Amino acid sequence: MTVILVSSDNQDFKVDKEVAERSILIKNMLEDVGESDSPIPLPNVTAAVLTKVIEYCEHHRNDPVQVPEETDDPRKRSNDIEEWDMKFMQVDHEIILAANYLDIKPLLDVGCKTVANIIKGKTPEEIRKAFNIVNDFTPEEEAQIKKENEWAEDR
Amino acid sequence: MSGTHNHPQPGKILFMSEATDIFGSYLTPPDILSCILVCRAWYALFIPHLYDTLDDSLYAWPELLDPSHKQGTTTARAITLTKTRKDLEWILQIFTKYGHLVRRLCTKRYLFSDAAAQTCTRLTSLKLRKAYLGYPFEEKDNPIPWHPAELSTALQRPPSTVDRVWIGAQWLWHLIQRNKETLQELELCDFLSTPYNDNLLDTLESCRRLTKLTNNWISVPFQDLLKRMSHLRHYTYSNPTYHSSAALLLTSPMPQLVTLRIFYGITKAVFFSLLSNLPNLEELTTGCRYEDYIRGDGDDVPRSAIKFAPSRLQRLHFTRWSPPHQNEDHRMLNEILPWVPDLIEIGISHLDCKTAIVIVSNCLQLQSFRHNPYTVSIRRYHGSAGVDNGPGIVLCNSVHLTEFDGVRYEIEARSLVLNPWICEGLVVLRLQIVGVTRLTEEEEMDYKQGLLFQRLNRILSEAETKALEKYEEVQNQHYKIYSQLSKLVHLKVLELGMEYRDIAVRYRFGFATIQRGAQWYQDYGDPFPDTLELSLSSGLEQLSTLTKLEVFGFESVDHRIDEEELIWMAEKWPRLRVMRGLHEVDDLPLLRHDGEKWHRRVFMQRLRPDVRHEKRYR
Repeated sequence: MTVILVSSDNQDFKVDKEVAERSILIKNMLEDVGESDSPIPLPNVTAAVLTKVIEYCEHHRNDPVQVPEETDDPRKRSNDIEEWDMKFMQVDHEIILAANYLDIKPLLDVGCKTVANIIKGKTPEEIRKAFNIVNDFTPEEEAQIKKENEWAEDR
Repeated sequence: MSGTHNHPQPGKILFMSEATDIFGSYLTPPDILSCILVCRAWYALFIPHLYDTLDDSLYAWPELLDPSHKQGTTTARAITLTKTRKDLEWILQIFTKYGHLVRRLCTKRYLFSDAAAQTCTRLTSLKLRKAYLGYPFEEKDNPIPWHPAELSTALQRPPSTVDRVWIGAQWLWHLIQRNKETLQELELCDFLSTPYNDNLLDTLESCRRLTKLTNNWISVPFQDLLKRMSHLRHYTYSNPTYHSSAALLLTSPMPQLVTLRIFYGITKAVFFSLLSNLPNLEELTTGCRYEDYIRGDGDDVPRSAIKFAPSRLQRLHFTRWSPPHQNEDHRMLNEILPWVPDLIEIGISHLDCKTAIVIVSNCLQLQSFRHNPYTVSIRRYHGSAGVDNGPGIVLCNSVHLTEFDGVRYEIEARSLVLNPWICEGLVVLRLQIVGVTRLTEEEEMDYKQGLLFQRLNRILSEAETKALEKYEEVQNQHYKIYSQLSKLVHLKVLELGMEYRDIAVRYRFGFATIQRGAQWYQDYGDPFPDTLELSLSSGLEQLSTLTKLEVFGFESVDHRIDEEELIWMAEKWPRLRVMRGLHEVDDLPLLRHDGEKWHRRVFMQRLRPDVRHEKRYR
């Protein structure tokens, strides 16, 4: 069975129901409307991004549902991204926004890991450069924050 | 307020609260510190993540708090102290500003916990570890209501003991009182034994959300504790020196408990009182051995009065085992296992044939077998008596088994080949395959010579003929072993060896001498000669069926893995994430550098940068 998804720029995408249901938003919509051929509008996702999201869902169509890991350590690791996912995420960070809107937890997760990996090991100045952000702290404020939080420095 | 974002996409992502929560969980405090220094907006976003979890043993805390803190006695790198020790005022200022953000606190320093007690009000998890008594303790003006009885005899005790008693009571009292509405998890340190009285139970009872309690020392009567804490779901008691199990005897049903962990031995009466009075217990861990089980220790329950009833228990673990020459633990299991028909997971410290037979006869639904190592040892398990076939019995008779986690156990190649495993749904297999027929160096030379001469139609020597015959035998046995492993198409974890380290064992005058330390590891890295060759020429390609493999371990295996094999693995195991066997052994300074291993690791990293090279023990 297939469903039709409509992007914000009015392009139709015919997708297997099983693939579309990787998105919890779409799954819930389909359950709410029951058996229906009506297209599903996705006003927050452009065609270009939806193409990529569908590609991701196709690739992961047989993955088991994610179960949260039980661990005593609240910090998780981000260096376990699959090779395919790593290449995929290099394309566009808009996908993370779409993953959040469409409620595709594994895609949101892998996107966030990718951004976390960009941040890791960088100085504040390097992060600013990577994300094109201007420092709006005064030198005094910056010094104060450093002083208060010096416990967090790596030994 | 916020910085200018000319490159808007990542900026937008970071302002999604769900996304920042996820980033926060993937970043360590040093990285989050960099984030809060980026701009004001990032400061506001990331500061809750920086203070979500505080542990005064991590990062620069010890250097800032301890008067005589010394760094890195075991590491080779020299570390110079760069931080000035902070006083109470500084610590209190930090906590006054950020204490409300702390959710998880782990502490063993009085100054730290005292500041936390004055400022943290929304803790969900509190772990009070063994005290570090670097600071003098000052008595407060408003003493706590629960006065340790020991104070009456304080003058007869050394001053440090008085401090400990007081500090323990203060920590517990103030921190818990402030956070009793939010606390869900509490771990009590090991020097709080003295302040125990009814006030402790009152305090614990007042924490209505507390569902997980770890008690490392205080001997609280179990029945009283459960009566007062109807919300408790998980209880761990790990006092290593307290040997009477009578305090754990239950006489009436307590439906709330789901997990119970007791790290010492309990008697048969206590064991069955737990099974029959904890109807919703799913997981039980004990340090019980046969000698503990048959002991009477004042619980005053006649054997005839022991109540046997089937339990719904699903996971049962034993963390200790009797020495081999007097090991009767299988008798204990033989009595217990018929009463836990729903058991899907068992963990034990020693798996011999008798124990394995008892397990497979009683645990018909068994999905997971786990080895709970009592000690870390460099010594291989079997001696002159040979390998015990316990693992083989479990693997050949447990049809529902999905996990065999026993990398310290060994199975004989001959036994593996003769007895097919029926657990083809295995997802995790950690087990050493030993007794594999391999050519010696000399035989290998004879084989190569013989092969060449055979091609040239020349007459072979007796040694060359034998080497050629043995090679056939080696290939045949490897083929059968791979054939068995290739059926395990659901495998995600396959570890065929382990790195022997941490404790070195040497035999002197017939006795084993155990010593910690790196200086005995000069021979580390020599593989065991009777293990599986993991080369393509030995038939490795049969394992191309393991397409779901995520973890592959081959430490201590004489594997012969080279570039050709790594190219094959990189292609055939697309989900591979972790490799254990090519990692760097960086903390054993006396080891010789293994250049070949380094070369292979670099080669694999180029092929598959997504695969981590890890050691099993960190």
